[in-house]
Amino acid sequence: MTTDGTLLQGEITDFSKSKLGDQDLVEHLLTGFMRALVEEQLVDNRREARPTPALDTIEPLGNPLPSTQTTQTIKPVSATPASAKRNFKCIQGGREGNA
Amino acid sequence: MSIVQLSPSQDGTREEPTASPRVRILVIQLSRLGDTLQSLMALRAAKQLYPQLEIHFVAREKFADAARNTEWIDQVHVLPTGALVEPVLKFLKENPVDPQHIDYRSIIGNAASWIAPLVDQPWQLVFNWTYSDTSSWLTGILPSVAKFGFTRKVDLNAATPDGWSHYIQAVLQQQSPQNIHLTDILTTQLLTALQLHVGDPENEANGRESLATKFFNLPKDCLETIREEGRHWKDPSRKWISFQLGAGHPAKSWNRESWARLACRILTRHSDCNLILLGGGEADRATASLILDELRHNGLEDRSVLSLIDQTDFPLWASIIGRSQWVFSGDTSVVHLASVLGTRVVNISVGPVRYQETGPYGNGHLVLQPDVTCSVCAGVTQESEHSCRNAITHELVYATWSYGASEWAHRREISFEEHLEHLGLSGVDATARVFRSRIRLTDEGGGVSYEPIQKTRKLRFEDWSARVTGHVARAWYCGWTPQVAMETDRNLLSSELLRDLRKVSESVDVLLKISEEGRRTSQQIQREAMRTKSSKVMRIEDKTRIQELALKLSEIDKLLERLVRAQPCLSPFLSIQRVMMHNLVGNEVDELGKQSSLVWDQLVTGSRIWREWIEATLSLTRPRAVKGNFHEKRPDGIQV
Repeated sequence: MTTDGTLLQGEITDFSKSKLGDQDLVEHLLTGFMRALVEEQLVDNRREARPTPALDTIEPLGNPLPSTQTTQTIKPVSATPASAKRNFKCIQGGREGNA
Repeated sequence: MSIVQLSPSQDGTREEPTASPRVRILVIQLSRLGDTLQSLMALRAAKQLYPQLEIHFVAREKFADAARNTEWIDQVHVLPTGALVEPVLKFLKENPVDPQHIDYRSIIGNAASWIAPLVDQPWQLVFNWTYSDTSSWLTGILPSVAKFGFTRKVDLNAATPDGWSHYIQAVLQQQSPQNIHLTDILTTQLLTALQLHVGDPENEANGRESLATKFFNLPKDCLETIREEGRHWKDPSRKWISFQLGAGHPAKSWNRESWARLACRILTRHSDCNLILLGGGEADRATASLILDELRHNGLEDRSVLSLIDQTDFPLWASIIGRSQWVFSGDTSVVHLASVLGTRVVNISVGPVRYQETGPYGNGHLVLQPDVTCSVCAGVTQESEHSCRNAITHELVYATWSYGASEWAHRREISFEEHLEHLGLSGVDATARVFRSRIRLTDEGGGVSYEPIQKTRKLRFEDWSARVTGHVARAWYCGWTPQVAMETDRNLLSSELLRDLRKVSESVDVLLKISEEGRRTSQQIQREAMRTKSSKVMRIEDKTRIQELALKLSEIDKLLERLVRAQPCLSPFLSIQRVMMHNLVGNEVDELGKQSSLVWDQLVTGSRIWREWIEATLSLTRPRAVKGNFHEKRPDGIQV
């Protein structure tokens, strides 16, 4: 068994303390999604075959201690449905446009 | 971190099955059809055990039909890739600017509209089984109690929160040899998650119930659409054999001429067979045309052949595969479709294929793999022609199929080599390896395995290390392992393998020492950090001490890197260490020290397993006492 079993649980969100409410974060995630989708499509168009799915975003981290560059500042992503919904409505209403 | 139980009753006991609340899960599968089918297999297995699952499935339009044709998926959410990206692509076509300079923030409205229903209420579990950059952003947005697979953290960094996903990222995506099938990984990850978050299954696993039962909900009259007057397609005694021409990638396609000769050989010798040609696109049309020409040339005409190239939608395609006794195919989605429908497969696995991860799933499928060095597959040359596709001849494919198809008669009491001899084809398997799939018993480790059916082929180091890595993964993520080297027969061991094992043995000892030192140093960091009153304000000597230890850990990292450079077969250890270090969770130095020590501890466990495997394998070659009376006299009177 790896550790105390936490590795098998996935990322856990505690809704009682959560507030995804940050619209900026949702916009950033959506922007990242759109950018990745377009880039994937461009690659697809260039060489027909789909690129091997891989996350090439593992930076050479080396020793994460006691640097502040890695995960020390990370807090779990969390959301209340109401705030997420509000944010999406806001984005849908106010952010449409052309490239 | 505590485990979140989704459906506990007040007193902590499980609720009655009838009162179980629905468990809403979302699975994101934006890959191609083959991956979609493998995901559906895992979901079907979970649904049988947890009928209270409400499954939502995200797929691309092009590959969503498989999920749409099931009754047990509650909703399929189709990602409208075209509608989302077309305006951007059009803009790029008209304005040649660097895609990096587009203001994507101004065009997220459509994506937000599409995602809105998915964030309406929180999911209990989200599984991102696409394992791609794009899907990680989508997963990051979705509100869920727990997420599995690639996602994004609040600082927008990529995150891989669970163990099996670490394994996929560090081992499968790095193309390291390992022998656990992707369907088994997804299923195990899913069932483990459900057990942790929902509880034990309500339904006991029924080993006899096939996954194929009611898998798809297809119209019953699909096959009626095949109207071939004057032919005997409706004769139930005739065997249907499907040829899926082409493959997921041109590099994985078999030779056209070989397909044509194979068709001739089968129809010449087996007049009770119907042959159906399946596929789509120009290349497959050309192959089908060559097959039909060859049959005509050999006087076999087309009474028993039907070409349905470009003519099958999903329901018809699945109905044909379900009706067929055998499917011949390269590495393409039909392999998984046949697996879920219980149709046996002859998988001609040419090109850069990892059959142990994506081969046909189930008992009795046959896999042929070239056993030659292909410079294109190895990445040495960039030519378009893979020499490995010539290593599998139509004679060998025919012999393999006829061996598998006549198992009911010979019960595998005659060897494959004897079968080749009976056919007058001795030696045609010199450039290929042939495997038969088998579902292992649970106490043997479970999952699908591919057993060699040739008695004379030796185990390669790469295959050996794939077995060890699979064993290590079971130890890491399943909590138990079958017996070490259980499936390794001493007759399979070659002198080359033993030489390689002795060579790697020393490196494994070094790996163990490095991992133990990493664990020790991380624990020291944790202890030192716990002694300080705050991680922000501390005495200079405490800070210096922690920095020294961190520096030491950094040196240990570099040692691991150097070891893997010298012994690339140990690269999964470096990759998994990198992935896990990237995903450490914690805000304080002592928390990170603890997490880091657990990472190194995992490496210690893995390197010990490598050591056990090397010892167990080498011990198989030691001389063994043979039963019998060694002092009896031979007939000629000489005492032995």
